[in-house]
Amino acid sequence: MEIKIKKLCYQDYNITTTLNTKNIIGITGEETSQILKLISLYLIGKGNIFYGEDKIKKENHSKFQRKNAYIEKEMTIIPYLNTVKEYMINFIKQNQLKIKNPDKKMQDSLKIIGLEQNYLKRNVVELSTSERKKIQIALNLLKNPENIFLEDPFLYLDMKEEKKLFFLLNRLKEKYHKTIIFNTNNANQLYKYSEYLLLIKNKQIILEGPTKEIYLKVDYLTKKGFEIPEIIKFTYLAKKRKKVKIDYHEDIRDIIKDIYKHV
Amino acid sequence: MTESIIEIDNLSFYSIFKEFTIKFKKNTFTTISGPNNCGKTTLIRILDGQIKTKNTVKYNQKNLEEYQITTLSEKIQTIIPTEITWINETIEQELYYHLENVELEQTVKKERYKEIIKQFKWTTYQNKKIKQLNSFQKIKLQLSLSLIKKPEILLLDDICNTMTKKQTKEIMDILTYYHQKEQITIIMTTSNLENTIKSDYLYIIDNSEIILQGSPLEVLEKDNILNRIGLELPFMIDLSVKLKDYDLIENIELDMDRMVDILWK
Repeated sequence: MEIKIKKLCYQDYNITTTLNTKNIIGITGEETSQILKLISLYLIGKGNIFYGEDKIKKENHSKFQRKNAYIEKEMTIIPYLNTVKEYMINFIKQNQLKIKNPDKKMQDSLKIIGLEQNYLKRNVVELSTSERKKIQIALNLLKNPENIFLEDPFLYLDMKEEKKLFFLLNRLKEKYHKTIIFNTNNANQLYKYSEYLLLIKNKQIILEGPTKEIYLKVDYLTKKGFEIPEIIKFTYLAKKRKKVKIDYHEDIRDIIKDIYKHV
Repeated sequence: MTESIIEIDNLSFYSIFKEFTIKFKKNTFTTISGPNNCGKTTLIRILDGQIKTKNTVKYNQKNLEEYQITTLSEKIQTIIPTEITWINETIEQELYYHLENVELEQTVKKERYKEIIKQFKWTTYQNKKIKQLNSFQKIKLQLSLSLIKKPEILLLDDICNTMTKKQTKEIMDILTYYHQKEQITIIMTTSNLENTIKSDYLYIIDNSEIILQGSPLEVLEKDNILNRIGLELPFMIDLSVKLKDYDLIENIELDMDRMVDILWK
C-alpha cells in the first residue's frame, strides 16, 4: 500500500510525496512534527491524501486516523492514573476500542514489546525513560495500528536502549507488517535506522529517497544546512581530499579495515 | 589542589545511590555521564537542594541545609529543560525581571544586560515573545537568565539533548566563555559523550558508582568499559581508539581534516 500526498497545505506547509508502507521512514529538517501529524491525520490540512486507493475525506477521516498510532516525544502523565493497566484501560476507553478480551489484549501488547506481565501493575511515574517509551508503544498497539508515527523516538535513550528500541520497531515492521515513520534531526540515527528519508526545508520536501543514497549527496546536504552522518563525512573527506579509494560503510570497523588496506 | 566547592558525601537515596560520594572542584567545568537511569537528574536535584538529603551535600564546606534558600538560589542556578517556566512576555522583560532581585547598582545591571544580549546574540530578538521561541531558543534564554545573575555554580541537566550539533556548539562556546571569564563552576550531566570533550573533568557513573573519572580524553579512551555500560563513543574518539589499536595513529584526534592528513600524508 502507498500513502499518497498531493499538495497538502497547512499554515505554510506544502507537502507532496508518495510513501511506500511496510517501511521505516525518517523525516528530518525544521518543525517536522507538524508533518508527522498531517500524514498521520492527527492534523487536518487542505489538499489530497490517499491511503491506498482511498481518498481521505471528512466522512472516512476518523476511520483512517484510527489505523495510525501517534507516539509523542514524551509520555503524557495523567494525574488521576497510576498503573500501566489503568493507562491501558483509559486508552481503550478514549479510543472507543472494541476488544473482546481486554486483559488478553493488554498482555499481548506487552508481550510484543518484550515486557513481562507484571508491568501492568507498575506505576507509570516510577518507570524509566526507556520503559515509558515501550509503554507508549504498547498502549498504541492496543488499537492494532497499521502505521506507527513517532516523534524523535531515540531522543532520551543511551546506545543500548536505542538499539533495543530499533530492534523492536524493526520487528514490528518485519513480523507485524507495520509502517514506522519517525522524525529526528540526528543524522547518525537516521542513517542507521531509516530506509527512506524525507528532507524538509522551508516547510517543503526538498529531497527524498532511500536514506543510504540521500546521505551520499554530501555537498548538497551541507549547503542546505543538514547534518551528515559522521561515518559518511569522514569517508567523503578522505575520498575528496586525498583521492583514497575507500568505500562508504555503516560500521566503523569496516572503515578501519578499509583504512588499513589503503594507508 | 583546588578545594571542592560542592560535594556529596556518602549519599544513600532509594535504590539509585548507595554510599555515593562525589566532589566538584571550584572553577571547574565538570561533566557527568552514564547510561539511562543512572541517576543523572536526581544528582542535579540533590546538589541544588530540590531533593532534600540530610548532611550529605556540602557547599563551601557547610551543609546545604544550613544555608538560607535565597542565598542558595542566588549562588546556585539550575536548568532542567523539562521544568522551564516564564513569567513575562518578551525576552527583554524576562531578563530585566531576573535582574530585579539582584542587589546591584542600576549601571551594573545595564552592563550585565548588554553583555548577555551580546554573548547570546539576542540583539534582534529582545522584543520577541517567548512563546514564539523554539525549544533551542527557550533553553538559551533560560541559560541567559541563569548567567545574568553570575552564580557561583551552574547546574545543567542534559540541556543539549534535543539540540543539533550546531546548536550544541553555540551553547558549549557560551559555557566555556562564562566558565573562563567569570570563573563559574559548571556541573553538567549529559547523555551524549561528545558534549563532555570541552569540559575539564568527566565522571562516568553507573550502578551508584563512579566507574571512570579524569580528563575527558583519558576517560573516553576506555572504549570497552563505556560500550559495556551502554554509552556510545563520539565518532572521532571511537575512530581514533580503533586506529591506535592498529598502530595507525599515535594520539586521539578530534578534528576530521587533521585525521585525514595524518593517515594520508
